[in-house]
Amino acid sequence: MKKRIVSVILAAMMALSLAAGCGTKDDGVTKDANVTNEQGKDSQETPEDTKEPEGTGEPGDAQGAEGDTSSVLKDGNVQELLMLLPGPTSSPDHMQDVEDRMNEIIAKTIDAKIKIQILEWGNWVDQVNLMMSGGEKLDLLVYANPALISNMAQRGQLLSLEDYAPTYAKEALEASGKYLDACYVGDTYYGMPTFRDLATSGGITCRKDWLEESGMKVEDIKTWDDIETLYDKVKEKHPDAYMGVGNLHAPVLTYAGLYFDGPGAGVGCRMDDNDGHIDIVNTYASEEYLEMAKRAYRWNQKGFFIPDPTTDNTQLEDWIRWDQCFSSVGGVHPGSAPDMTRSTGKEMVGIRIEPRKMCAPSVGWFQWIIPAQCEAPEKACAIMNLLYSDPDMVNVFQFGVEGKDWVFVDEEKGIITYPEGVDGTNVGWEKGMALVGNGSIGYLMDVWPEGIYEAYKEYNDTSPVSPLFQFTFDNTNVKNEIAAITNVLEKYEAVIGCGLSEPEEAVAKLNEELEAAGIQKVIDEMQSQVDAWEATK
Amino acid sequence: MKETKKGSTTIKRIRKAVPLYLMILPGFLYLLINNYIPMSGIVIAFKDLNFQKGILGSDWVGFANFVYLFKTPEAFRILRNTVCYNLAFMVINTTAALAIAILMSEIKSKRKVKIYQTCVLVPTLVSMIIVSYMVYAFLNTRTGYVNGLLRSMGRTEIAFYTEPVYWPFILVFVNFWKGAGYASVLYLANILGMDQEMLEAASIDGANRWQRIKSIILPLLKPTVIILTLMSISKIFNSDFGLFYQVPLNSGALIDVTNTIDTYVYRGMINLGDIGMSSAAGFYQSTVGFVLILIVNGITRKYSNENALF
Repeated sequence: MKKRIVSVILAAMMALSLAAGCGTKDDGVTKDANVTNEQGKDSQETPEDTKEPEGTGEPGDAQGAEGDTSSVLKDGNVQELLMLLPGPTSSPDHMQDVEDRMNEIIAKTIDAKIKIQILEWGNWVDQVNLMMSGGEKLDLLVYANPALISNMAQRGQLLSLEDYAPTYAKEALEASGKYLDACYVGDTYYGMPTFRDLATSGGITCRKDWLEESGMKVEDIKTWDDIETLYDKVKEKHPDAYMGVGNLHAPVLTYAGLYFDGPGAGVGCRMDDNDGHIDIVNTYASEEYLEMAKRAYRWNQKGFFIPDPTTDNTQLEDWIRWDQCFSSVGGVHPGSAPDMTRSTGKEMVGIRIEPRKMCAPSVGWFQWIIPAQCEAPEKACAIMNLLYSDPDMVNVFQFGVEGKDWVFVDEEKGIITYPEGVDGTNVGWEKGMALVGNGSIGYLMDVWPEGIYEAYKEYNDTSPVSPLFQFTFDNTNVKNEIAAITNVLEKYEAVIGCGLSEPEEAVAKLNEELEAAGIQKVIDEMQSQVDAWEATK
Repeated sequence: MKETKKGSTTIKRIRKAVPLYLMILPGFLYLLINNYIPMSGIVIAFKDLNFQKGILGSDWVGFANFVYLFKTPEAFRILRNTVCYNLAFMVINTTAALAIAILMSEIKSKRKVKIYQTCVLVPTLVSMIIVSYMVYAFLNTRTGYVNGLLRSMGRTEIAFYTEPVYWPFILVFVNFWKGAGYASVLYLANILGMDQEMLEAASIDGANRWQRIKSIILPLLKPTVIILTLMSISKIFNSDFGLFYQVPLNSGALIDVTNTIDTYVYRGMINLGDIGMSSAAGFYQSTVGFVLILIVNGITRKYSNENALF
């Protein structure tokens, strides 16, 4: 009997530890899941980060530290500020060199030293969140995803830059220009957008040789119907190849979204809504969406898409490198084709199909922010300003150390390249243009065509701007609905965008479920907020 | 005189037990830090969290954070999926684990037992992310093993990741593959600890294998089975996020059969990032689990008192 009791107790203890073990394990898995998810997000962004840049190389007169600011910036108290960045590794070889170089530049105008800390892309978002919530030392950082930034701002975790930037970051304000409007949360802004492709566009990036084979010219292709004709022709020549791939879990065709700005859960306004009153609509009930769904379905029937497009985790570059796919479907900006050429080893051409759109989320995707726990916001702000105004600072930040991480190809034009034996995979320091404040004042990496900075500016400046550009949607009253709507979208969006189900039926069901999830309430709420916002303009 | 003697024995007894207390200490600290102190975070579920005001300073919002779990057309489905899958897991995994344990206890060669034990245990150690890719290797349309087999038999391929009908079975199987081995170790330890004389006596009396299992081993295992089942009932409103989100690769077409409370909350909160609402979900799950375990334990106490947990 005793033995039995002992065995029961033992079993109970094991069961407890099992339960405890499960508990921890669950957490682990959930965290992994987050990480993977974020990685997914990141990888969508990485094309931007891996860009190299560089610029006109005009010697900008670094710093706008004038008499009145120097008393604060040059107060004799050299404070150490922590600057947090994402990267592929947390300790690149030349981090110390870069830090020293940057501190030399900073010391000229500001009594402060920075300490760089790098978080790996995979756990970057989560870990920043933890550092912010835990009130750890943190003074200046670049962060992604405007939704997260505005959440932080609303929770009081960020400092409003309006209090500092007009005095300590004049050049940054100037460089950001109208794009700063996208960083507003309520009636103030907490971040500063970086220079990169700020508009969202649609189109394909395709293989040049196959395009030439088809006999069609880039200039002739203006609509999605033209692309369909092109795909038909290419498919004839390469019957075993697929025509279009997208990112994992991203629907292959999404261009319907380019007609709308949707600040919350698929609810928003038409980009061409200029009649003086902004009407908030359900973008999934639009004709454009149905038309896109039909096209996706047709394309899938024609065998243009890979099997299992919503779950296949093969990198889209690999499909193209293996001669199994003609093009990738998605945004087309000045840097996308050179990027793809580099990552696939095939010469690629971008074909953009208008419209483009400029909405707050794409502009605000990368922002420099100053957390509430910053010890010297004035100095942090002035350091941030250097990343927008001082070419030396920008070059060090972006390309690292001369001779070690880069060498001149053409000093006159400011064109650089990797030193011998160094490439993107083993370089001791390199940060993407999307992370620098204003990469266009720095050098240009030779893998990019000359004039690309101007092309970016043109791409951004000519894009139509959303009627809701400066509007922030406060979702407090409709959180329940948004949680439900997000679940519905997860269920249908990818399936419809990849043409996996009969379009009319699927779109009807999607809208039915959106109704049930309370999309009308979100529309009403947003409409009333937009009306109030318009009234104050 | 007498007093001192008594006192000294108590001290002696305590002193004798010191190593035991020391052994408890790490586990106790672990439970305290990991399971008890965080419980105070429950208040977040009832607050509109604002970091500037702090957790305690934030405004109370009553049950507003809980509304989204119920006021949704999906509420029934996610509840059904969570509970039904868990019930299926409980029945299938317990049966399978018992079977494995009994089979292994019949193996006489110690080395072989060790090999088999390791084999059934390894899946438990594999991360769900890895499992999801193993499942993917079997099921994907293009290069998947199953579809390759179908092709070679001249059958049409099945696009598993867009066909919800197969997934209840796939998920139950994956969970069985991953979990049964671990549970079987508990039962095996139990069986090996049993009084071997009893089993020998039974076989001398002419009981065959099946009779020995039915009349001796299973009844003796009953307390362990009950304890483990009680433990899993307390988790009936929780689901393994990896199993339901990673293994189906978050495929939209499968959401009807793979959405559970945890994945619903995760999907809903991805963009909202509302800590109050996610805490509310956790609070809801644990409360239901707690109430259920009280009820089931009450029932157990009524019918077989010595097997109840408390």
